[in-house]
Amino acid sequence: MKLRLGSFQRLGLFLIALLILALVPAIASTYIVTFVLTLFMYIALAYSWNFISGYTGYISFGQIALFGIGSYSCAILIFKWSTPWFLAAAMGSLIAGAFAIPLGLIMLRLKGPYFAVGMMGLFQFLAALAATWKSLTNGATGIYLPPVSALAYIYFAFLGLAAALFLATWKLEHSAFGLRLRTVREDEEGAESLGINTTFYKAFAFVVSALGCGFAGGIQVFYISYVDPTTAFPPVLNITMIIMALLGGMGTCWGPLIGAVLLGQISEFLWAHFPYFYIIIYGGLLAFIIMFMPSGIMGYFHKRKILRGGSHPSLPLPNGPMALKPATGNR
Amino acid sequence: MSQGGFMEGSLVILQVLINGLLLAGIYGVAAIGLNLIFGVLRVANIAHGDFMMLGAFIVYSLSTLGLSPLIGIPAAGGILFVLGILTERFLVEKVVYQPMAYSLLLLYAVSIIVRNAGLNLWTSNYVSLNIIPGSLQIGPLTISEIRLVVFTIAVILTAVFTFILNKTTVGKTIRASIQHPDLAGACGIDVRKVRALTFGAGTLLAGITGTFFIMLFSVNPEMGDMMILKLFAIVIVGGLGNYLGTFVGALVVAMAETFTGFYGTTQFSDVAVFSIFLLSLILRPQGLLGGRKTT
Repeated sequence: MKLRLGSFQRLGLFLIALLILALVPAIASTYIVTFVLTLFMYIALAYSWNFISGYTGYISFGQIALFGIGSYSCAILIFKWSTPWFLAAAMGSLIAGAFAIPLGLIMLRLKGPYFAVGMMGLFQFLAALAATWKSLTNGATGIYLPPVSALAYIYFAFLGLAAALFLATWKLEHSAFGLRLRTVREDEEGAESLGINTTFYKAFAFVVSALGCGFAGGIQVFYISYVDPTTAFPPVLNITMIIMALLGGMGTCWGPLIGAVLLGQISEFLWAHFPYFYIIIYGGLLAFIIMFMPSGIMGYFHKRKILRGGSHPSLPLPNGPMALKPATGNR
Repeated sequence: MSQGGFMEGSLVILQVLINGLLLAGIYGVAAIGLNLIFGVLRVANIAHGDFMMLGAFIVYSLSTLGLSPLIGIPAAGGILFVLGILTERFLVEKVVYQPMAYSLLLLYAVSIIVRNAGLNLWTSNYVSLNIIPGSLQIGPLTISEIRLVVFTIAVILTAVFTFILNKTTVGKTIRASIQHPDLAGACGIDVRKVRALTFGAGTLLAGITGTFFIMLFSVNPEMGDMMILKLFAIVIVGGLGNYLGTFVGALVVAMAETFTGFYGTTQFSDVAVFSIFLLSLILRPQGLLGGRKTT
């Protein structure tokens, strides 16, 4: 199966797809709109996680911490200064991004499992901070915001965010910049010896990921018009975004999209049928993916040569930063 | 400051020091397990805190059935040992030669499963097991009896473990597998078996530490979250794979926690643990004592 399109045709196709999706709120029922906008949030988060963990190979177990920063920033801006919500969400995204610069420079010095555990700790720590810093966050009581008037705007916001992150990933996949970013995943020391400023590329990916997560957090806060430590730092969402990116194939352009759409449907089913066990099933699914299809659905496509050229899934899983070298190594 | 005030102040510090020491002994047991698993399998067991939780709640469940913790603790240890061996054999063993991302994500999956199974079985309420409520008065110092009992068990357990590791054939095979797995295999050691055994022993230690925790504090099935960070901080401060260093790390983390907890709040001590974790990784990634000393 060979399908080759020029860049102009690709852009046209993308715009047509966007247009069709933008028409959904006008024709579909509220349930469908709600479902699809949640799907867009999943897509945005999966792409955000993919940016840092898929492309640089730094597996993060706490990227949702930045979602929480975006959520709280947006909520406080709306609540204290009655900022228009879209502006507040954008500001939340920028605040998360700004926060990510020093954070990334510190955290990305950690290698192997330390980065993963460190991000997990950060996530716990920020959730605890949000619960105790009562003057700013109103503690566990949370902040109530005016309810949403039009669902369509939130739908458009999530659609826009998901599309923007998709485009950014696409650009990454097809540029020298993205290639240099991916060298971090393959061999960080080797990349450094070739004169690539790996710190910059890692931090860049981390900040883009933070911008995406923060924006998603900001929109979500307005959507549910409420924020407390559990809704701002939802552990389930943290797990979901990781599994989605892995299911589709981490470090690919299409993987997070496929994974999010597929798992979005599955989770809707699981949630309805096994309300108490669906997270356990998620865990089982994650274990299954790691053991039997570590490069995800895209990896399968790639192996079967259904897809040629273009995006290579990180086969089979990033080795670079996760290959921990002991301090005095004689293995 | 008057003489009396100074005396009182140093007494308080002594009191906090003792509490920190008692806590360090308990943390040490779980951290040894984590460290051993890393040493033999080269795998960061991110589910260690959740295995602790499982141990804690098995004892809790058994005690609600009327069984004393004297039976409960060994039972929890046994169940966790078997569970650890099964986890290793059927999950971790499959990815043990792969890049670390595999085992990390796989154990993350195990952690998700165990934690949410715990939440389903025991809900998210905090529970504790108050078996010896009294406290001992030594001069002006107050030491809760249960802490002392638990500390004693922890020290005995550590001593037994150190003995097994250093003086027995099983221990020798484990150390050989840490030092040079290929050569150990060539010498006829079944490294696969050693890996399963080590993982089982590690989760056993985690489970027993969990039983200590439920007797000392109130815990809920999400306790693994904060525990895993503390355990990693301990292991990193002491140096990954450094057996002796684990105790130094446990002492540092436990002292930091008790002191900040005494002068500040619980959240403050969480910040302290997180800072230790980051600082030690950035400033001395090889650990305070440095290197990989396996015994």
